Amino acid sequence: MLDVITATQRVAPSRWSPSRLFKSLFFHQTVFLAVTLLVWEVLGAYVFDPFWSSRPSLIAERLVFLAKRGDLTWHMSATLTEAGLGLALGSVVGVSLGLLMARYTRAARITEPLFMGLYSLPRVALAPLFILWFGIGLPAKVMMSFSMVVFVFVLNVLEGVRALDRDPIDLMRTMGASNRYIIRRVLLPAVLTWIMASFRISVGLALIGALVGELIGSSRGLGWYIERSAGQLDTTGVFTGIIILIAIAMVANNIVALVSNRLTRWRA
Amino acid sequence: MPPVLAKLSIEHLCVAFNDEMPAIGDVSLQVADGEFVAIVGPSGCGKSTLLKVVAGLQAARSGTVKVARAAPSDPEPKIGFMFQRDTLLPWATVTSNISVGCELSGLPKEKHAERIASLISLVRLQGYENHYPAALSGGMRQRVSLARLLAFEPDIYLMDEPFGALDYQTKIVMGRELLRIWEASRRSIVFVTHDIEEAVALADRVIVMGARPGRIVASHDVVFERPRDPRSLRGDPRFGALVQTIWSELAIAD
Repeated sequence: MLDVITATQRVAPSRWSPSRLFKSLFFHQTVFLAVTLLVWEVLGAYVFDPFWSSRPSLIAERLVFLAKRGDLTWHMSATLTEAGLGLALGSVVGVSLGLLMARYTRAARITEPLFMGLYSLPRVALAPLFILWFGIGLPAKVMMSFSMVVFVFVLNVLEGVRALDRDPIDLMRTMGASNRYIIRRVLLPAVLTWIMASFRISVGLALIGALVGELIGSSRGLGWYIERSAGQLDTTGVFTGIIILIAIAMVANNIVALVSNRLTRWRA
Repeated sequence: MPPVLAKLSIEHLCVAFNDEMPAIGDVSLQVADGEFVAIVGPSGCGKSTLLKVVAGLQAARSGTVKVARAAPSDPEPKIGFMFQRDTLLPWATVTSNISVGCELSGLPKEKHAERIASLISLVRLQGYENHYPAALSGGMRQRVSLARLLAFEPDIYLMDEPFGALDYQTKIVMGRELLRIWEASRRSIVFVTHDIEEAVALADRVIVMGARPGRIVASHDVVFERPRDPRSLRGDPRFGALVQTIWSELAIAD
């Protein structure tokens, strides 16, 4: 039998099709993930030695085991605290430094070579120094995380101030606006979008900082767990740590994207 | 009879950006209280520069610019500027953008909402109070700009090609709207444009400027009765004659 689609029928469903589309996209993503895991499972069981690639079932088992023993929260909370504090400190210092550099251009020019040198330096190279200075506890990892993200904020805020639209400021000046008023009404809202962009970039970098710190010297955290598992040739442990990190990074990215979208709703 | 009080008084103004030919050489202009003056001229004749000097955005080499205060108690004359670009804050809603004018006017905070509401209906933006500029058309954005300017309640309005970026139809509509609003308050306006018809349709007086150096070439009183409808005015033979005259003056000035 042949279906005859009339014009009205073709137009009408468009009202609810976006949500249907999303659902079907979500459905396809789920199927893709399931197939990937299945292939991995089969390959790990029958083709490769599980020693090299582990298997989703073993990882799931390990996750439950770690959760039950409290190890999961123990390590996760350590890594999250390090990255979170590093990100918080980096954003506060970075935004302040960026605003200062935008305000005092002469001082900014003088310090620029040192600043660009530090920015170009692969920050991982600082890890041994931080361990030496701050020990293998929390402060070294926070500093590692901080050093990864602080430049992102400085450079973005600087760029945000430089890209400021002069016309509204001129207009407000003719209307007798004070500096404080212009900062509150123009500068801060304009820079806010650049700060939110910095957060989106920095979430991943903060985690890298914490992880690098943990890999080099620590007694807890996901980096430590991965490192220790590898040392014991425990591939399942390594993969479990990686899977947890992927989950953390995805959730954190989504939270930042959500907040960022809410704060910059005016971008039609 | 006392002389008509000048709202804006420019005497022998000279502006130069560096040591070259002055951008404006010896311009004197009086704008009476409640007068609508349009300035036309070729690009580079310094008509925009003239407004910037009055607004304090550009320094003069010599000469004086005086804007009369509304009341002797006012500390500074309030100058309202409108650009060709809308210069709205993209992160602020229509209401919030208009409130900039209220905030800088010194109006007590509790009266802001009332003034904003009345201005929104005056510029016919009801229903768009919480829209962001990005969601508005060019004409609507200039309505918001105009409302922000009105909220500030300036002593004098300086408008630098305010409708220059709009399409022809919207430009005509906005001109009519401006006249309607102006009729109600009758504040002095200096309106810079390159559109001669727009100048004649709107203003009490049209000043023609020439370039190199920027100077006043001619001044015409526009005698059409108020209130006017700029659209029907365009069919009037006197309108066409005046436009023709100004055209020929511009050709000479160039």
